[in-house]
Amino acid sequence: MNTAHRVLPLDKVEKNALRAAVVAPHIESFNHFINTAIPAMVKDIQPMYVEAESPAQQSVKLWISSFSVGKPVESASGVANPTALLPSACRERNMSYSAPMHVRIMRSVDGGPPMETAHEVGLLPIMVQSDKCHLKEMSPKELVAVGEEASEAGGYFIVNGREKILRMLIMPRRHYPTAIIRPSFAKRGPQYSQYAVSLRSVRPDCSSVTNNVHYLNNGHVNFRFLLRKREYFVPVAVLLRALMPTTDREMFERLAQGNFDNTYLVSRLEILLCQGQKFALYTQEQALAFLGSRFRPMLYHPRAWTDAEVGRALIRDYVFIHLGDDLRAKYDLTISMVQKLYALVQGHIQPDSSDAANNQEILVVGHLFGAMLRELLEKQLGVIKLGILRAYRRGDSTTDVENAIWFSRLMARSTMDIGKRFAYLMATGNLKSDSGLNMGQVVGYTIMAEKLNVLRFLAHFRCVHRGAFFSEMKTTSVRKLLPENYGFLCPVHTPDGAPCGLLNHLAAKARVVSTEPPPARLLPVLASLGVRMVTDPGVAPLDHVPVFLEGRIVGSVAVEHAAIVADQLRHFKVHGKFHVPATLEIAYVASELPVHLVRSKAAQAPALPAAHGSSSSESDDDAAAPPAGKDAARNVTLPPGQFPGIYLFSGPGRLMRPVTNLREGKQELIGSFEQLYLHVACLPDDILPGITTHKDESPTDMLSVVALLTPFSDFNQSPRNMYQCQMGKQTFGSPSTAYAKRTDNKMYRIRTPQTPIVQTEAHSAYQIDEFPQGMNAIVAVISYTGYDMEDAMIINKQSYERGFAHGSMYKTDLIDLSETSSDEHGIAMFCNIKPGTTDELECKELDADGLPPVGTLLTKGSPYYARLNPVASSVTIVRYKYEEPAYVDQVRVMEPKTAMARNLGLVRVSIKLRYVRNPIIGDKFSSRHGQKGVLSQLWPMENMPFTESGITPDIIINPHAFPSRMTIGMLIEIMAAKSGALYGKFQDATPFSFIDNGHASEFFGEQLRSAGYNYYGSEPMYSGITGTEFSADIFMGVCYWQRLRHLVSDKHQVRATGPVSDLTRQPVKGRKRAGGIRFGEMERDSLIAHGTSFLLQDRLLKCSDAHTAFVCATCGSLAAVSSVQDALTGVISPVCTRTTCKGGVVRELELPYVFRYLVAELGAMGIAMELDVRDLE
Amino acid sequence: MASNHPTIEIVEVDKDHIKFSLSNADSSLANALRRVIISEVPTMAIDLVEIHANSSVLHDEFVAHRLGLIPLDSTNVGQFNYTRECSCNRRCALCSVELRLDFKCEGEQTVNVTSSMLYSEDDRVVPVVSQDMARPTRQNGDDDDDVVPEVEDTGVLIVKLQEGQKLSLRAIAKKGVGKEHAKWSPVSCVEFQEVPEVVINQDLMAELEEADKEEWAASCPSKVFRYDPVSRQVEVVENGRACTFCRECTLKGELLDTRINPGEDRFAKLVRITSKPKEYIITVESCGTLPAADIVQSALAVIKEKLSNVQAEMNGAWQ
Repeated sequence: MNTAHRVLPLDKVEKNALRAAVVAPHIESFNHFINTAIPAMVKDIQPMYVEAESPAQQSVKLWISSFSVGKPVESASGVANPTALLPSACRERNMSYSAPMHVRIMRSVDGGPPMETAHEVGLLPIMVQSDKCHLKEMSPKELVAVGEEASEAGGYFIVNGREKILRMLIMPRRHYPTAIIRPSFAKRGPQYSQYAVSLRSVRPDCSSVTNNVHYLNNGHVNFRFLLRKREYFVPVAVLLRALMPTTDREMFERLAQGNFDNTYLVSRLEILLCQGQKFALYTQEQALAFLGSRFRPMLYHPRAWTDAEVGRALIRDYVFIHLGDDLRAKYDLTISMVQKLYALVQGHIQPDSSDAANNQEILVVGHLFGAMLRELLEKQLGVIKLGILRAYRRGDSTTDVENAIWFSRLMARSTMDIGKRFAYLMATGNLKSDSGLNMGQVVGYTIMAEKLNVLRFLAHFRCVHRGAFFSEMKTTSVRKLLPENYGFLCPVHTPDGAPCGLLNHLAAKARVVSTEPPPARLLPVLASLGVRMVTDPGVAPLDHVPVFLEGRIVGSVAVEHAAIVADQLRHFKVHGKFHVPATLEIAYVASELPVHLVRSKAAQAPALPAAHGSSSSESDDDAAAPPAGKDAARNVTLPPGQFPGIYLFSGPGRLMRPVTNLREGKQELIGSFEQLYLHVACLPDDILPGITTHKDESPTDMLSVVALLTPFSDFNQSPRNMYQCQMGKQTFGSPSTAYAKRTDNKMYRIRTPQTPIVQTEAHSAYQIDEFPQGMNAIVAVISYTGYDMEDAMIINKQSYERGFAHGSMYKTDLIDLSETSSDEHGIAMFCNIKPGTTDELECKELDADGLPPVGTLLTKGSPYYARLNPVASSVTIVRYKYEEPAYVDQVRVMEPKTAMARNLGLVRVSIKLRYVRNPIIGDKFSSRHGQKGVLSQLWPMENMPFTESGITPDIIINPHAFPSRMTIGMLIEIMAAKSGALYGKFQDATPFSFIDNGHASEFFGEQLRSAGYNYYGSEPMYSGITGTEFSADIFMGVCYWQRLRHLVSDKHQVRATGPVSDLTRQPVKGRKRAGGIRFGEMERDSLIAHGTSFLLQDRLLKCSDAHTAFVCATCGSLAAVSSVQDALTGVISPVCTRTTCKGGVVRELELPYVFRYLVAELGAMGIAMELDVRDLE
Repeated sequence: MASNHPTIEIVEVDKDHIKFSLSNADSSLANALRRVIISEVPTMAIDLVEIHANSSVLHDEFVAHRLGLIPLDSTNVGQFNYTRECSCNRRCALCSVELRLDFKCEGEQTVNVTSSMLYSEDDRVVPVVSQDMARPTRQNGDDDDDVVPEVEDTGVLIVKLQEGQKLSLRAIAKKGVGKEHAKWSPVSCVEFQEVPEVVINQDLMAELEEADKEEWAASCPSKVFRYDPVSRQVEVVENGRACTFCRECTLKGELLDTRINPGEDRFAKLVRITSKPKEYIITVESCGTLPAADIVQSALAVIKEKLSNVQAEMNGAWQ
């Protein structure tokens, strides 16, 4: 069965599509950034104006005409045809894989012709395997030739030689008005309620702004936006007026949409319009001028602009920015958001949950890069403007912006290193921004792509974090597993502990789309389907629900037609007709009752406490509170749902997954929003005729890549599968096939791994065999020597000696002599030739170049390298200082950092060391079912229990591991692998595959029986010590065993004596410093409880900071006693030197040294401590 | 022959494999023999490796470990001393054998370096090369294409070398026992069986329907029972030698009980399986270093020597 796909087609460009799909969200997003977002950004960035303040000055218009990113090259500037910089070189040389960015800046002086200059603005980190990467389009064979793995899929950046990933984050879904009830909204000011409708608006270049519409208890509605990290509120009536040349009557009709029976709504609308009247703004120009005049000081627009122009710019840049200059669309959207807000306040709809996947999207690398680059480019224009203004202010007579030489001199000062900002983000994960970029956090954007093993590496690309803000949150509701997430976020693959539920992983089939089809093409399609377009004259009737297309109201459709429109659109989507893209999300949110019923029923509600028409904002206090959601809901028989309408989403960052469309019989991508409004069956049995429209492709669709690899996970208790997802990622496996090219800080390598006999479909589909990480071990479940208690396991000593679970660890040591030697004396270099001779070696163990030969075993104190000191002209042998012995695996000569050192010769080397990591007692192992244990004993083979055929187990585990943990999947794996080993075939362990085919245990039991073994996998066994048969049969079989990276060799800490702290003379802490292990308060309590006072004194005093102190018996001072040499006898003795003390007897005491420190500290504060030692004998 | 002495009856024997029944012996004696075969029969194995050049993909410890596990012909192991007991200072020709390996891949094709390329200084101790284990020729597309397909080399693979890679080393083989390290163990395991006695209660069997008889007989995974359709009887095949005491037949009987006469356990007693007291069948399979029969002989000699040592001690203590 699973034996196919073992060998990669080496010379074809065809790569494993699934492995590529794992990293696709990252690569697609980066390409989207390069190919789509950057051109859109350049088009959208507004020109910057420098105004002439006197006739001598010039007025300048600055703008960006193009921005381009190259491919990574060696030494970026100056060379005509620089050589390509390859990722493997970056890793080995601790460099960044980045490419030069070029920007063309246009300037027009005094309205003259545009002039262009080109500038390099630093190096942009380039994602491996993206469109800008050299590895793209390389065949596996070519990849190997350039030092990569044959299956290198990319998706990460290389920053200073380290592989970094921009972690995916959950963001609120863009362009969807989200109804929110949040108590903190009420704190916005007096009369503010907890109700708001929020919309995250994103430009094509991925920069974003969040706009809210707030409900006030006095009936007002205020529009909120963010300007330079500060919140501003505008009455919505003023905004509406500014957006459209319209009348109060028209606004009223649009907002009410024929629902005049709803007295509550009507009276609210009256208040809303009255609020607008207060400002006496009657035309659009007046309203724009009003806004412009208020915000002009914040916006730095040219003084020549009218207030109305400034107002227009404000709306363009801060209000529904995704709609650009289309004020009419902004008007329609505002109307719709206010309608939704009223529906929320009246309880006609439920608030939208911000924790559910349907209201979320994913922030991928391109989104952050896009927003960041836009801000930096705008800043770049600002910096140039500032440079010109400064020149004006200085009154520099040479100032001539038109002059190319003057301008290039200005640019030499004013060109920003944009690349540095990106490099800083990638290296630290911290976001530095003036505006905050509408992100919820400033830290934790990047993670290291640790190549510990293939699972960990893959999981990094699939993990999605909820946001740093939520990890501080006390409530657990954000961590909950919600049904809305089904099929998008894996329910199994989340860590336990602090990040539980916040750090999730995408389901294997889930995609984060990065396509952005032009929505305009859809408009005629919608019109032809009978949608009443928004451009049609008049107001949509009461029974119409709105049609949203990516944050734009394109029209409305009658309730009775809405479902048909959605179905037709889905048909087009599945078949790719009329340019309806396959990634379009089509959700028809039906009103639970027909819309007019909901509205009229609510209207009938008796005595709704409403502020009646005449009451205005002056009567704030007695303006009644809005009806609570519950009261309104009582009048409607069905519980309210989401705001009705047809929602079409086509933007990037959405989660989508493939399912089968039953009606069309084809695969369809469905999004997390539309999934709620589709009936998706999991299994064929779940299909309800006439209701079910879609079906999962497989019941495993909900699982992540890592969770898919757990065999028979459907038989296990669910937390065990979560543990396995964690442990699979901690396995000491084969992380890479390009070991020789890797210089990671720490890398593990298992020596004789095997492919599991029992494996899931995903194992071969994702070609995990390329990076195997375990052994098929013969396992006996028996309580044998007592060394298997409490999850300990016994390993057969002979299995160990034959190589079971052997491994090594690699570390890389970078030695740069230019850093250790000071410049004034010159730089030392590696050399092992005795000064004054030509070929005589200073140290025989080292090579002539001063470096250790490959293969040398280094122990503490053995020569490590030799260096020639420039001044003393002597050769110093530097010795290996670490405790643990290591072999020299590779020695790399690196290019020195400074130009001066470059002329010297060998200055910078990187030495790869290899440590033996064969199993020793205390090392951690686990099966693939969350069953971990430590190695407790290497037990000689002749003492191991054996079967009739003489087989002794490799591993013995205790039967107590099973009853409480209920890892039945492990028992079945053991049976399946046993029969697989007997028949020489791989066994399929894909979860949920036994749903229709009887019981797994019966299936494998029959196989075992026909192979001549016991049905259940038990066998009679004999004691290895006595040779007699056990009275019970022993369950024995084959199980895939992983070795985990928690190794004793990396953790053991012992100390008898060692370094102590200077201040307290207590032992220092830390394994690296040969420190001690803290004997803390609880340990102290334990000794006290045992009454072992001698031991207590030994631990806390004798083995810590005991010292002999002298105390003056007369004055009780500890600090004043010092050693004084007698002038006559020459004898040194402790004497009290206190002037007020008459002197006398000085007593000798054993005290903790830290006590003396306390006395000194107190003394520094003017507190004298006296010890009463007079009664001491 | 009702002797009280343990008796050995050899069932099968060839070079690598011996099967014998040991009767009139306690489990202690049988098990002692098994344990000594595994862990105390001396053989020769590579113990020290000095690597001069290694540019292969496997690192030095890995190569050394693999060398240690290569079986060396140990038929003359008796002529060597244990190094620790030898009169020499560090090692000498009396307690060790030096082997050399020096190979550089010159051609473009990957070359397998095997144990047959190990050159031994002493003809008495050479790597075992199997004569009867001719490797099957590779099928097309069976393995990597860049490996030389047809070199008739039946040695143990040590490492594969690509063009320009080199392996040069000196290895010292020493005498040792499996207790110290598994590489000195002459066997991979010892089969150790109690002899089953399978008795069918034919009276009870007669109560069963023919179909049930047949079903019951088929229940044994080791095929100890055979239903004879002519005589309509269930008979035991070869005295039940194949029985592994798995109790499937008893379980089947219980199933029949629940079907035919619920509440009773009659058919559970259709067959009585006991192990013959004081009789064991032991199979020893050599891993190539020693002929199987020699392994048993050597093990017995070790036991004998141990006992005579004890006897000598006893005598010494007595006087």
